[in-house]
Amino acid sequence: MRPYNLLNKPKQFFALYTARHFQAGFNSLGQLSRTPMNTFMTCVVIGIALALPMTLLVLLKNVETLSQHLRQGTQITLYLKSTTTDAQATDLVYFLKKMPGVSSVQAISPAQGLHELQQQAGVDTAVANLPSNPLPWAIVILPSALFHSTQDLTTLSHTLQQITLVDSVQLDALWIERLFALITFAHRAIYGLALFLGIAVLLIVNNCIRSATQQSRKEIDVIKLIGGTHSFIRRPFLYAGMIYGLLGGIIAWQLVDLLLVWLREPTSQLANLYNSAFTLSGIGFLDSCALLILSVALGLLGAWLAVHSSLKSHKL
Amino acid sequence: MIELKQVSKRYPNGHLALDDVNFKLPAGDFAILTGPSGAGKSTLLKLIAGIEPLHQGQITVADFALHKMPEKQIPYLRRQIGIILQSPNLLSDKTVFDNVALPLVVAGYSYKEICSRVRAVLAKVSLAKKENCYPVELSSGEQQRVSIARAVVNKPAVLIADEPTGNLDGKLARETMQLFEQFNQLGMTLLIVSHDLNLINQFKHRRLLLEEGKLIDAPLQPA
Ligand SMILES: Nc1ncnc2c1ncn2[C@@H]1O[C@H](COP(=O)(O)OP(=O)(O)OP(=O)(O)O)[C@@H](O)[C@H]1O
Ligand SMILES: [Mg+2]
Repeated sequence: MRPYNLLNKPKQFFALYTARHFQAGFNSLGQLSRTPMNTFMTCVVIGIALALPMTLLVLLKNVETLSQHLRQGTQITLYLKSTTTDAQATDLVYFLKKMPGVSSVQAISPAQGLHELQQQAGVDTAVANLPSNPLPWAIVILPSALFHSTQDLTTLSHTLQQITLVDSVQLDALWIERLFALITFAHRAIYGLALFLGIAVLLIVNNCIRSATQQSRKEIDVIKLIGGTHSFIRRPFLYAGMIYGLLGGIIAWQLVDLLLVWLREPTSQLANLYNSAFTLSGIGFLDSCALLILSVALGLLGAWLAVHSSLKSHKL
Repeated sequence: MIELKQVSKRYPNGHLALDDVNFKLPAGDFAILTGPSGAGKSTLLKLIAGIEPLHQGQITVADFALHKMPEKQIPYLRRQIGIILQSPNLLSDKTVFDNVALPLVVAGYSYKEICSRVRAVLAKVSLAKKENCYPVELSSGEQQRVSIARAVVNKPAVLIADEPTGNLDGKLARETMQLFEQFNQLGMTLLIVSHDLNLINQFKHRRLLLEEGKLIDAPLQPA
């Protein structure tokens, strides 16, 4: 007398299963649309909670790209030993140009250096009084674009230090180090914030679904009485949680996008002042997907916890 | 089939509602459980339906052994037994049709099957014309019949009912009992609680008497 022999009819089982899921989904949608203002408000709150860390992350990503741009200005200066002859210096330049990780090499002879020094006001008289030219050969190296991580730069400067003619190596990257340390710090801070706000979203959905289960208390009792399983009871609430998450995620996504559009104009103006072609990049496809998946997952989890605790407290 | 062996039930507050109850109701039997108020009749039905947890004794209902069954199995037990509680507990935001259809929806019947079964059972309890009404639009006797329809729509092997005629007048109560007899003739096992002696004296069915938690006058083999 059973309706279906489920094990022997997998196809039917599948149809039944999906039909029930759709039914539960539509039921939840109907329930939520019956109190549109409440649902909307909840979703906006979820959206704002998610938009805040997301915006910060996107902005930080932009700062990172910007710092990559800036790092391309990093140069390494080699000061050669004072005994170096012109011929040795030219050979070295030739050798350096072939080194991996080196983009361009510019040699500055002692005479050139002195000349440049004399151009600078205030120094000229002091320099003119020197008995001989104290400046060594200097070679300015611009690392290639692929060699811009801190580690690569340090390795490169270490290698350069090994060259016998080289007296000292100066890596002009300290401020970038500081910037990077700051970025790492900001990353952590934002992830911490995201964690807190994620928990907040979880609690918001949890609270909404909990009150929904309390409102459907009688319905839950009746369904239990006539043989509804826990998963049957849980299903519409899980859908409701997922819908909250999805709508909240979409709102967050739109908010982030809106904010970035709003910032794009002043950013490119700022970049123009620095002669940079830098433009603010948006949230991106993968990040958008991640945001939506995360918000749906938070909604689902919040709902699951709410229904779980309310099913446990039910007697029937 | 319903079988109870040495069943006792003590509520958390210490009240002993059932005290060493034994009886066996073979498949296809019809028994009426009577007794004064507070005797433990509802408690007995709640134990059979798995609504109250069983701590002492053994209960077997329609191939389900409640004393050694995991809690997860309870929904499947309840699909095999129709349960009518003392209050009709219908869903007020659903029509009569939807209320009656609920057990079939839960068990996953097709829409077509649901329609034909619900209409058939509503006709049986004389509510065919009220299928689109909401519970508030019904009299309490009609509500009682809706809950009967909901309990039997799944064609359960066993029907347990707690005062199903409590809200009905003499004629309707008699008709309801006759309806139960029809179900019984189709092979359903019935355990009906009633303290309306006027009514049950009109029917010749096995009678179980419960008094202060003790089942008396209940021969293991019905006479
Ligand atoms: N949840 C409970 N907690 C504690 N005691 C309870 C609980 N439910 C019922 N009782 C007690 O158990 C006894 C039997 O209750 P039960 O509801 O089974 O009686 P009944 O025979 O159905 O009575 P009535 O004919 O009035 O419905 C009563 O004395 C009641 O006070
Ligand atoms: Mg009772």
